Amino acid sequence: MTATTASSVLFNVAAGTYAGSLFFHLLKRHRFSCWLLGLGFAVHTASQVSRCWRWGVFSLDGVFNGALFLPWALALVGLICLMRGRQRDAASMSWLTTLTMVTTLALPVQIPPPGPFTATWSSPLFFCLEVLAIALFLAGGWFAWRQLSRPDEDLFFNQLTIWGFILYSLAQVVGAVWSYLGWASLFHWGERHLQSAAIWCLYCGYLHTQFDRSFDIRRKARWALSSALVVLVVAYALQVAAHLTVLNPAKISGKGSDRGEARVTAQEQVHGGLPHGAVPGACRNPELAEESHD
Amino acid sequence: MIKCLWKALAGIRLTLWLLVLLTVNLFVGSLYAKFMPVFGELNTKLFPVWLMTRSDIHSWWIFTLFGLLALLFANTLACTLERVRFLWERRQHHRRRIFLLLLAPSIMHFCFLFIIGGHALTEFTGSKERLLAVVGEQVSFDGLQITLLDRHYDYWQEPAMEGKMRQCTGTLELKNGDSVEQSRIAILEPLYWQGYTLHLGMAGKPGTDELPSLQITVKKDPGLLLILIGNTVLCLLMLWYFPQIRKIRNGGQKQ
Repeated sequence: MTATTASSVLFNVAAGTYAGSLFFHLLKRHRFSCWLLGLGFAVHTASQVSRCWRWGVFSLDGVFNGALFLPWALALVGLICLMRGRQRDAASMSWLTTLTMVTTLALPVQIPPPGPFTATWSSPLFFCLEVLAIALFLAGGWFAWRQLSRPDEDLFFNQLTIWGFILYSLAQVVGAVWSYLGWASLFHWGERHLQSAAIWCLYCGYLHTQFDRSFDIRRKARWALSSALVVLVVAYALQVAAHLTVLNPAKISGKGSDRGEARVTAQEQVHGGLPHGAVPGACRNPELAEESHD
Repeated sequence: MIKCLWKALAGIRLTLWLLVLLTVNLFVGSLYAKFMPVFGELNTKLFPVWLMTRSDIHSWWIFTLFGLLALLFANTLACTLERVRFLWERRQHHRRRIFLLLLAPSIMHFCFLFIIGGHALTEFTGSKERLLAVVGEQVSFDGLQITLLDRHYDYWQEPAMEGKMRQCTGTLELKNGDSVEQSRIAILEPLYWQGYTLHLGMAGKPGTDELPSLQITVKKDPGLLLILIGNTVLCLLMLWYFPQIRKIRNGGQKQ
């Protein structure tokens, strides 16, 4: 069994376990739901670890892709809820985990192969921090919605959103370092960086609502929920759509297509399009393709 | 009158409005940047040069963006100065650790001002140039000469990635008057020389049987340190401040 197959099998098993967790949550068997969420998380972790060897060498490229890593991060948030004695909240996270897992299974994504622009610690760290932050923002929105439907004084959504903002800010620092090393600029005037800045400003605004007395818990919850919806569209749906096999048939061509491998580069993942990067494997002349000098 | 203006400028309500407007402005800008390549040229030109040569009616969002950022800068500065003054006057009432904790948000706001200032320095006073690098051909900028002596491409040998590029390196001859030196450059491994950073990149898509063309981006980034230090200190302070303030609000308990 290859690492790719093992990773896919484990991913499917994890998806099934998360679905089971949701099933028991709907039956209000929260304890059992949490057990299955934990089991799914363990299997999903094994899937992500085996994914590191899918190219035949150890590489973190693609491991932190939002479609694959976001359900893991959401399950992690659920387990953190459980550790803090919030069994029902933990079980409710199976909704988000299962939905994102099902989306990934229904709409497969292309994973970029390791290239010259990703051979640095800052690239996987950036994606890891960014997806963790998105998971916290979405979980914050989820609990804000629950707060709005069952008003109480629970500010749990606020804590999740604040931690999301901290991780998102860290992701921006690491991303800026990567961008500077690879593309000579801390900030790129492109769609991706402008949207990241917009999300940062949106949550920075949320953070400042703490200092405005007119913002009661419900108004804060509304802000957290609407911001999470923006993140869902901009930082999840649009980013995942950029890698969907069904939406990007042109990217699968030539040598890699029979294996369903990616033809997208790291800078496409970050900046979108091809600003000034090579397409891996584009040079098919065998004399040139091995190791070339001139 | 001045007092009234200062009070309005230092208000939290203004901060909230500015951040919401900035969010909308940045989202609108991201759509322009996606569909109009002219905005991508901001990555290779300084803002004043781009403004003189490439801006038109569609650039309105950049002007509103800079306007909003300038207002946010002033608002943050006013807010922070007010808070520091307030805390300083009551410094005797707090223990040193609590005083530092209360001061942390103000330091974070100063970091934000450093970041904005750093970006302004880079966009207005730095230098950016993208040069096509052809082996044996000399390119010049600011009286300095660079020649790409050789280039070298490594490809993955693993079956799953056959034909995919692993790394690209080159040797540069750097000439400044009579002084000549040779240095190695690679993707993600920029070179620091004469106050400039040289970054190796690739110029667009290569042809089917061609090796990808290379380019060298020459950059002078006076705001770089301000931005990086400001960002790092901001994040570290946030990591310290929020758990501490929560602990205090919960009466010393973690939960």
